[in-house]
Amino acid sequence: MEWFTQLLSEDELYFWEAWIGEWFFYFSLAFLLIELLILGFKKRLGWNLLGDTVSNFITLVGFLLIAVAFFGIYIGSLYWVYEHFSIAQLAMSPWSIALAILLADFIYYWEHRFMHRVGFAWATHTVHHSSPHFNISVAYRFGPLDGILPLFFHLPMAMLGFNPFVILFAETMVQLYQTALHTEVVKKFPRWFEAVMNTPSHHRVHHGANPQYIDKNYAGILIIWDKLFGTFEVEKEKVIYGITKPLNSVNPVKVFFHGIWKLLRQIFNAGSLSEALGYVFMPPDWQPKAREKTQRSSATS
Amino acid sequence: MSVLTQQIIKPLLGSVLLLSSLSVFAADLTIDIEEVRGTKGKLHVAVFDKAAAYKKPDYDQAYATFTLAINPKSNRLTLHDLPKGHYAISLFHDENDNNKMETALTGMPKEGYGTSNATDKYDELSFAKARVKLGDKDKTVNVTVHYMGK
Repeated sequence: MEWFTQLLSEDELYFWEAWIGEWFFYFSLAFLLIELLILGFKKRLGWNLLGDTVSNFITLVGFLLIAVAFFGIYIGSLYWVYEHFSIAQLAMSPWSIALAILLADFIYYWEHRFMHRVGFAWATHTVHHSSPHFNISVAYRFGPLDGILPLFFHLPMAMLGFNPFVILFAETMVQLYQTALHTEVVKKFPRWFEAVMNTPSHHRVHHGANPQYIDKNYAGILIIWDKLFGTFEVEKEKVIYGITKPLNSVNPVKVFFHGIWKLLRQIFNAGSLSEALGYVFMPPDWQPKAREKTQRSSATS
Repeated sequence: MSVLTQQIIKPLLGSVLLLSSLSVFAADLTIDIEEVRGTKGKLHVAVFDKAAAYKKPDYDQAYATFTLAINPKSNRLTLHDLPKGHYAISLFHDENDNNKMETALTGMPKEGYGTSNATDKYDELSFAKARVKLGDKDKTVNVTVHYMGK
């Protein structure tokens, strides 16, 4: 029990996070190699998949450049809230870190749901979903704002008294667990595990463009959030990966910017301010009333 | 004549050459080591003139290295008549006196360390950023020792 209450320093936690993240990345690369070998063995390895894989890592570089440039603001904002608007300042120990991971997992669910159901957030998150493949490299396929938007969801944790370094550590742990789910190699885990934990099977559903799979299974570590908030779906039918309007490109520039580009075009072509605001803040499938009507009439005629 | 050349002129010429080369020895470099914690152990200080040696860091390839017992009041060290040029100073506080810089499994430094021009403990400066220029005048460089938490 003493182990759980030992005090940790910000430096220690920061180095642990960097160390875990780095090793995780090396293991991911090794795992990707295994996945590619299996696909090759099954004669399912093609140029599109290889191009897609390379593109995924190029988006990772773009994402990291933006995230690193933003890091000062990210940690600074957390600190500002932690020091001026927090109700407590919790000691840094394995206990408070475990609690932080649980809370970060709950936050991840809602942040992720927001990323799917709000226009401007989907404009960046659609990058991650636009791959027609599903392997660990897709986990590293990020959009331009994917490293910035999470800040707004984690500020409340600083308010509750979690040290900014604990928050970053917890965010990373949820993210890494999530990363490991991007694979077809693992079919299903034992029932009890699938019932409580998020798994590759649940997350394949999340990446499905099949109608019943859309906007399902937002979870990070625990799948119970989806069950609680009514967004859970079991993997039955074979998953068709990607977005409803396929991107059909492995060009990394197109991949990285296609969501933002589409949103800007929608805003630019909008007939009114309310229509433009609709594209920015309403769900990605939202359409202005007038257009809905014309579509309906053209469908009936 | 040949005896004269061999015995007198050559050494003379040699010492003149030596003297002229001595004239590039320009100034004194004083290193002022600040914020040393406690008096345990020793300070290992290395002065680098080559980027590759600094980067590793390889103390054997340093221009000069020093080991200092810790003075509770102030820790400074002066290198006399150093050639003009650029030098980067890198040091660590060997608290447990084993001649090694201790790091945790994660790579976190467990003993104090300092680099010329570093402003905080997370600074990892390249040679180009860490180096100080020594010209004709004597110079004092302050190097702060930083300690990572626990």
